[in-house]
Amino acid sequence: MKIFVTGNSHSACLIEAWKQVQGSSPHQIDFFVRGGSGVKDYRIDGTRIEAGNDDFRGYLARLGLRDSFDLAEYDARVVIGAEVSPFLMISILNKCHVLGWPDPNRRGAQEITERCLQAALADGLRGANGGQMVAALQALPGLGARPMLVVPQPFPSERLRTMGTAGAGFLRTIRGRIAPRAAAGFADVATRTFADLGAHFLPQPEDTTADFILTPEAFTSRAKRLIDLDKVQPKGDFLHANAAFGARILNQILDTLEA
Amino acid sequence: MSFYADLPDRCFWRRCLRRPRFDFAEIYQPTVTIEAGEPIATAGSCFAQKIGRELKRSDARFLDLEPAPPGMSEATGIGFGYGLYSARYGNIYTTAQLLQLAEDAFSDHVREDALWTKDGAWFDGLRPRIEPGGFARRADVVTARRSHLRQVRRLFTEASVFVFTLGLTERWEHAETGTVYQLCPATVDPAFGAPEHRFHNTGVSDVVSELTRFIALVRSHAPDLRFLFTVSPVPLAATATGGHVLPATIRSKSVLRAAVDEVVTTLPGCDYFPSYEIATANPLLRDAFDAGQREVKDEVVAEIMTTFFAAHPGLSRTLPDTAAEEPDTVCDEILLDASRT
Repeated sequence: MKIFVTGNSHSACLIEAWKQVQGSSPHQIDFFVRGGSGVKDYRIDGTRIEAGNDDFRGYLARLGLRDSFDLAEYDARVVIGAEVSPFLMISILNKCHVLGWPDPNRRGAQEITERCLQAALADGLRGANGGQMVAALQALPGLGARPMLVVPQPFPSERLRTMGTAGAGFLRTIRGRIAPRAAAGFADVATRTFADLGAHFLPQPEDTTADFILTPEAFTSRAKRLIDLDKVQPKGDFLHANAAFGARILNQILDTLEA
Repeated sequence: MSFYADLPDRCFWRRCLRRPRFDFAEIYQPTVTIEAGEPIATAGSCFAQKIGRELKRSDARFLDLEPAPPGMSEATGIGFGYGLYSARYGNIYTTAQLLQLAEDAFSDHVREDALWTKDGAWFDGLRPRIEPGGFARRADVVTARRSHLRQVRRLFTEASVFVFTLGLTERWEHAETGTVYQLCPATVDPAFGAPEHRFHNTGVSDVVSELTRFIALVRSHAPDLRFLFTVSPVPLAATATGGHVLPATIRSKSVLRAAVDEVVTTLPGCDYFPSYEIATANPLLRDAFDAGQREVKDEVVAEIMTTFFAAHPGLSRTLPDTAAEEPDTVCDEILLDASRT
């Protein structure tokens, strides 16, 4: 099976995992990635996608990656991260309180219904770079029937429990006992939103989560940087996952495609 | 010598006809001025959405105390009542509604006769269209209303200028409690109708009284707040009087226009902007409305707002991207017509 992967820095864990099994795998995976919010400077011509400028071509060259792909040659496409993120949910919960949820609204946040929360989240996912990439790739002629998977940015590391202000919204959902609802709500809305776009959303595997909405240290320590896979993320990083997590995602992708 | 001899050209119809744009450069000399950075709040009938949209594009500080949740698109937000005004109150067509909102806000009062239910869902009868599908529980609509009233209180105390567009005199109210509804409840949905709901067509003295009480109440909490009134040029979608809709429209607008005049000439810190006149009585413009003859054409709104901004030199305006599509105005009143089709 030939798989095309596009995404942002959260692709690094998958690249790492892939490198470890690449030699013995019957599959082929090619990456078209960029840090930040993901690939934006690209051109599409028919079924071909390529870097849209010298800057991006240079970026891919430094990573040892190709800058042009004919997607008609691929059996499946995967979008990873690229703003498809539980942070979208948390940014709403940071500003609003959901009516009927058990956490007390001590901050006097604006009250919204769960339907309103879901509508905002769905819009956020569609407007995310990953959502736009899914729409763009689904519009390629003749490829709509081929599988398209969406892998979200992982939940932040449980390391943030010991950090000052970072990720306070995630910790607040845990303290307020709404983390299960937030995590399930994110997965549910993402599943429906991407299904509408013809894609299949892969929620973060439950056994890679802690308190429903964090990622255990075992899957985040020594996470590598996309821009230099020989280097680990800076000490304060709590966003990125490691090769062990990447291996879980790789299996999840392959299991889904082979099912 | 005639008293008229010393009057400026703008006072004479024939001379205005000879001047560019009927001399609109002099149609509005604001006594309530707005400067860059001043917090402005808007409310009113659906035409007020157009004014608010233009103010958002200026360097005034447009207050939006109940913004859409992060990520929600403008189109989705409008369906939930976000982004239309400075808080999520939906269209406020009558001065009675406005007064009631301020009274409820400052007394934290939730009206039992405005908690409506249908098919297990609950609705806020004072803004029934802000939550598509309604609220899941009665407690939720009460909590949401209290949260809304809190933001309305903030709005009145944080704003420097409150812009209100008067739309209708015809209103529906609860015969026993006096609660005033946004629309005829049974028109929103037959399930919301009740025998106690009655029609009332307000007169000039009522509107003057309601506006005066509103201003007094709000100023008891925000003494420096100034008010800018306009009258919506949009005709009635339907009249409940049983008469012809055209005289009903003129009657309604005339009452509102006369009442506002009395208020702004008697109360300090109150002003009137003649958007109604520019759209409906402009001799150079015989066709201010779109094909349906209710929606004011974009170019007329542009003319109105050009006149407005020209009179407020302290404000800069960002002209809209002509390629960008404007969102449709949310007009709940159109339901009155839809109920017959």
